[in-house]
Amino acid sequence: MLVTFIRLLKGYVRFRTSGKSPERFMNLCAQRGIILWNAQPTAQGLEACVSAKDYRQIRPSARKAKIKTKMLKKRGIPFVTAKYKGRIGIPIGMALGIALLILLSQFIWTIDVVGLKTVSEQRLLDLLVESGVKAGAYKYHVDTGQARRDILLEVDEIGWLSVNITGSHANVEVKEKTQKPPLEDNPSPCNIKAAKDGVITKITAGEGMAQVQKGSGVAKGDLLISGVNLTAQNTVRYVRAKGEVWADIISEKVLSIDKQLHYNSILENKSERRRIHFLGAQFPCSLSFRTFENTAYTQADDSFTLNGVALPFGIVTETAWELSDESVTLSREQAQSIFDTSSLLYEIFEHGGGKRTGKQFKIEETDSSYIYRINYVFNENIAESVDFNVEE
Amino acid sequence: MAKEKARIPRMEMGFAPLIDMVGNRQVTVEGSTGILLYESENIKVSAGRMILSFGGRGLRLRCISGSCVEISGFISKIEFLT
Repeated sequence: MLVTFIRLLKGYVRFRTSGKSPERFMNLCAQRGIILWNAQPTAQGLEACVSAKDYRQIRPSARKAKIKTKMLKKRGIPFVTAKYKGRIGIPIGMALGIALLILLSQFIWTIDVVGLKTVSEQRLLDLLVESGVKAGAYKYHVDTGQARRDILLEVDEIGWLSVNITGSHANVEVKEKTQKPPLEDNPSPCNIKAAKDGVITKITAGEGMAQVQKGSGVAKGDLLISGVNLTAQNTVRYVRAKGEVWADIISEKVLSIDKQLHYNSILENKSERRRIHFLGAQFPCSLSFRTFENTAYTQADDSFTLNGVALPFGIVTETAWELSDESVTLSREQAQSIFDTSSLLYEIFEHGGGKRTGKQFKIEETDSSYIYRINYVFNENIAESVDFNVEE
Repeated sequence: MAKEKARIPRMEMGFAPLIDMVGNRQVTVEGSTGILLYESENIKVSAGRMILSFGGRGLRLRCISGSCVEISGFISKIEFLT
């Protein structure tokens, strides 16, 4: 394999001889230090290979052995370069290509982050940009150690981080910390009181003495679990009461919406502006002077990819869409649909910790709006810790 | 006895050729002084005081240099002619 490669590098010729004594020719060549290989006997003489450099030197041996030689084929790099000798553009293009390749390999093209579980990837990428690790950065000016220290100081959740630059690719490996459970560090005693009015459905007292039972009705601020315990010796012990008290609570929500609903609608008319982005820099490649009175903008970044890796160049398309003011008169069914969505969001985001056990609603209609009254029954934990001081 | 024969120095062998064989498919002769006959069934190599004759089929010279010859093919017979 290596020998074949060297022969191709130096160039070689396959030739045919015709004459009576090819053996004499081979012996003369061997005496002159000319190496022949892949020699095959033929009806007229033989076929063999010789290096391009030695081909001229076999002629005296051929004359002495009274044989004729004929070149069959030429192979190797010297013959290829000789073919393109007059074309100056090819070596210049090759040199420029190699120079461009060397130049571009000095920069970071892509960044890959692995190992994130809870920390946002975008947050980490922003911090990397602040530390100089970004697409288009000159890789020999990037201080990966400093970037690592900065990010570890900035993000508490990260326990270990490594920035490895391989070629033009920066690979950021992250290991997040295992979070410690929150420790109760408040030593003062406390009671558990009701945060809302309701009817108790379940009570679980971890520390302290329960003061209410299942089925008890409680008002906001009532004592549920006491932090004052009586011991067997009839003395008082103050503890930090813990526990969960679940109660059915009644909640009323009123939503309203105008009958005449105004909104913006995106029309078909649009204006696109494209920019080429390359290693962090952007260059406009199309112009558009079309403007609208009301506009909404969208931006799409189409980076080129190679084997699933986004390359640091592509086309950014910014589209301006024309908006129109629309107005619609809502029917009762349409209003009901909007109210259902709003009430669902209210249940999820304002009573997410509890469970809805009942719901009654009523739609009222006035001249200009619809009003949606909902009476909920939620089952929630209403326990609220209230510290108290003990004085001798 | 065999060990004693193996220890005979090369000078005492009278510059005899060194023959390496890989099965019956390849032979390398070091110390050759020329090719006397080159056919696909028979190749005769001069090696100092003796002539080596390789018989077989599809014989060819893979490489020829000043003192080394490499023969490949299906070798069925080797003769030492003086």
